[in-house]
Amino acid sequence: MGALLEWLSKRKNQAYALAFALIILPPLGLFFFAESRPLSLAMLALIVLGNLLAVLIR
Amino acid sequence: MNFILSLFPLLVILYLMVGLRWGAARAGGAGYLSALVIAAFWFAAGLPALAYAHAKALILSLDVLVIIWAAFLLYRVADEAGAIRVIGQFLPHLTPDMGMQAIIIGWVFASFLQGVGGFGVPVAVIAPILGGLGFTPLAAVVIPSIGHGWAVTFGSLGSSFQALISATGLPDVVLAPASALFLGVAGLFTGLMVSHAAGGWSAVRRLLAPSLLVGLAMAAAQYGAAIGGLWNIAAFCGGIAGLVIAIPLARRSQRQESAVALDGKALALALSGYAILIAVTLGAQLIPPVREFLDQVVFQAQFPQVTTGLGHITPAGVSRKIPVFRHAGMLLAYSSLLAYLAYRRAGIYQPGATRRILSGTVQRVLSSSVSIVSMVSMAVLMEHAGMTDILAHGLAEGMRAAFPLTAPWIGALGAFMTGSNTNSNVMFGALQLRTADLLGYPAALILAAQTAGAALASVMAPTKVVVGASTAGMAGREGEVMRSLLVYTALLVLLVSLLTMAGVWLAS
Repeated sequence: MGALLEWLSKRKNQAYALAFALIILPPLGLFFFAESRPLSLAMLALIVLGNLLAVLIR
Repeated sequence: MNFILSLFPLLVILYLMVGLRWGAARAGGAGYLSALVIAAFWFAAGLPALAYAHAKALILSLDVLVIIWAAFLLYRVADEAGAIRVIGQFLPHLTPDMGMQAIIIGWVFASFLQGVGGFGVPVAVIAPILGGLGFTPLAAVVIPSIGHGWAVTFGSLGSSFQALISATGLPDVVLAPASALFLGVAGLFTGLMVSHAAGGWSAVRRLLAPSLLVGLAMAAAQYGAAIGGLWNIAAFCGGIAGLVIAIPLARRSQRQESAVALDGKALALALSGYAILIAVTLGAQLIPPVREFLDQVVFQAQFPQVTTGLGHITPAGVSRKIPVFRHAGMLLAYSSLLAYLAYRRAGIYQPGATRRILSGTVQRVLSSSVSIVSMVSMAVLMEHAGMTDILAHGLAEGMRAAFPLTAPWIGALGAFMTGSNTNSNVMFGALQLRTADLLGYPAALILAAQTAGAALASVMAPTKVVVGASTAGMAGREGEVMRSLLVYTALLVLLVSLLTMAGVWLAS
């Protein structure tokens, strides 16, 4: 966790780019696979991950 | 309990941004996560509702983000060419009168910069200029901060207004008139406040006529452009109208020798990027063959009805029709490219300018893009889970006749929390609309109050104050700036409250 936080603070732009990709790309998939339970869950998990990452960037 | 839990994500953002001074991207992420957990586990939103809410949020986010990205790109294209510096050097030479300098630079030029750039640019650019002209550091921050607030909704090339359209689903023809009117009236008072911040009541009395004249010109130009469908350049038009009126006024009153030495060619070149923007926007909106050509590709998504476990229904519907190549963001992108080519042809870019423009743009918009997507997703999730409806019912029961008075303060609170008129409109646009519908108030007036309150209060958001204070050598003294801004901002939001009440009374 400590190493992750250090990387996030040093590589802020890359971290924001990764967080942005994680919260903007999966909803694109939800357009097509919203009716599929496993795919929807997987994409929601990625969005949650992206937001968690955004919360951790200092 | 339902009301408190519905309010919780908003309280999370408020606490994290104001209490713990987190940035909007971090706080937005936390707000989103809390909304998702509450929507899924307390309001039984269900997977289909959550999935379609995210798909809708993507469209709303992109609708706003494209404008923000392209607006900042245009600003960087012009800034890298030295355009902002040339205009900034020209203005102080017009008059030695500090009150008039505050009006021209701290109000009119700040509004112009807000029209074309935004994102904290007006204060960051102007505070050092005013400091160099002999204003105290506090005045150097406070003057441009108050000065650009009235131009925020239609500034940044319309991104906040686009957010209001996207969040409420109402067209610009419904939302623009009242919004532009409220902000225009606030703009008139802004001029007086700028005079006051520069030189006290004596400056207000001395500069009453020019500030009213300039204010009327700016407000009328913004209003005309907004209701004429040119809302993405409405604040920019206001800024241009202000410069056209204020510069001759200043030169007539006290001409200086240095003004004669002005390099007209450099100034014309500096302004050419923005002339291209006007030409592209007008061409795309007003020349039918161009408009029809750009309208050939239209995006519109269809969504099915979804129901939560608690029975809240989001009916089936279609998204806003987006003309892809005539979108305000695309017009900005064309303008950026043409302006870049024009500046490059004139040979004023230093080596490496292209790389600096692109990297500067990406670095600047990344974190705000994350915060916007998170907050939009949070707002749409709350709508689909029925949380917005519960908040609206709670507000309607609690406020009733006082709601028109409080609507601008809700917008102001959102902007103060998130540092952005856009984010406030995204968070509270649908809530204000729903509450207005429940209480039977005209939606256009309540939403105008929302965006006007948000625009005026966005200037004293901690995130903006920190930027302004740091550029004027006031780092560590942000509290002083906020205290000074609080009085002016509160008076302007109160004015919008009264205008809303008067509008509701007239409409009934």
